[in-house]
Amino acid sequence: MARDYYFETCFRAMGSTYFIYRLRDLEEKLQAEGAEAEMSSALVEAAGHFKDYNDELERTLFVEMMQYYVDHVNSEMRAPELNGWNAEKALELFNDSYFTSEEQFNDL
Amino acid sequence: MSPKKALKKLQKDELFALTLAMYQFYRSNLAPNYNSVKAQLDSMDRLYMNAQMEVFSRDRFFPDANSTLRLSYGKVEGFAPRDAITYDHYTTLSGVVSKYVPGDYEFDLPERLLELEESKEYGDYANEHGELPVCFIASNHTSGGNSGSPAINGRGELIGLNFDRVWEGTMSDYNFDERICRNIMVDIRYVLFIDDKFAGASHLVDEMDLVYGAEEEVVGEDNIPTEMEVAE
Repeated sequence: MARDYYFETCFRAMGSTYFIYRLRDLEEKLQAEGAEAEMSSALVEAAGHFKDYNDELERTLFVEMMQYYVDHVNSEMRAPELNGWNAEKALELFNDSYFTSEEQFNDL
Repeated sequence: MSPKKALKKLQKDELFALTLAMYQFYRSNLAPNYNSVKAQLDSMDRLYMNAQMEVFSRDRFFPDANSTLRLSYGKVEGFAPRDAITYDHYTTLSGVVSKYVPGDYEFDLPERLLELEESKEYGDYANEHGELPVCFIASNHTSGGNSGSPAINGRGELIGLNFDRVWEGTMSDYNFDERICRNIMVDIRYVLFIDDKFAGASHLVDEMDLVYGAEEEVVGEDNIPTEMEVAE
C-alpha cells in the first residue's frame, strides 16, 4: 500500500515531483564534465514540462496530495523528512522551488 | 546561468531535496520488500490457479492469452463525441504542417518534410484527393500493449499500424462504447512515404509487394471492414 500511495502521489498525480524525479541526477551532472550541456538538456526538459503547466492546479494538487499521502501512510513507511508535515510547509516548499515555475527554473 | 551557480541554487531547493529523499526511501525501504513478496506471489500463481480450478471445478476460467495471437474487428469510421463536434476518419500531412511550431517539442517538423509538403511531392502515396494521409481511426477494440499491431483490411492487406486511442474512448478497457471508441493507426502510405521520399530509402520500398490502385477500396472510404492483429 505504501508503495502504491508513493507511486500515485509522486509520479501520477503531482507533475512537480515527477518533473524532479526526471531530473534527479541533475545535481550530480552539474558537478561532472559536460555540465553546460546538461544545463541545456534540463532546459529542454523544462520547456516540455511547463508547456501545458497550470500553476494553480499544480499548487493545489501538491498541497492536497502530499497531505493525503502523509495522513494515509504510516510514518515508518515513508521518508522521515515528512515528519511534522503540514499545508503551510507544503505551500512554502512549492512556492520557493525552482521546479514549480518555468521562470524560476530558467533562472536556476 | 553557469552550472556552478545553478548547482548552488539546486542544493538549496527544499522540494528537490524532499523529492529525492522520498525516492531514496522508496528504493531502500519499500522496493526490496515489495519485490521479494511479489516474486513469491508470482511463483505461487500457477499453484493458486490450479487449486481454484480443482476446488471450483464447475466454474469457467478465462485462459491466460499472453503471447497468443488476438484479433479485433472494426470499421474505418469517424465519430461525433459531443454536440456539434464531429471527427473525420483521417488526417493529412497538410494538417500536420498547419500545426507546425518551430522549436516546439511536440509540433516541430524537419525541414525536409516541410519541403515535401510544400511541393506536394507525395509520389504514389497521395489519396484520390491529392492529399497525403497520415493517420486514420477505426472502431477496433484495442488496449494497452497493442501499439505496433498491424491493421489489415478485409483482403489481408496491411493498411496501417495501430498506436493510440482517441481521448474520448480511453475508457474502453472497462467499457467499449462503439459510438466514441476509436483506435488510431498510422496510414501505411505515410510509412512508405517517410521511408521513400523523406528518408530516401526507396531500396526498402522496392523490396515490398505494394498494392496500387485499390486504395479507394482499402482506406479511401468510410465503413471498410478492417481486422487488427493484436500480439501483446
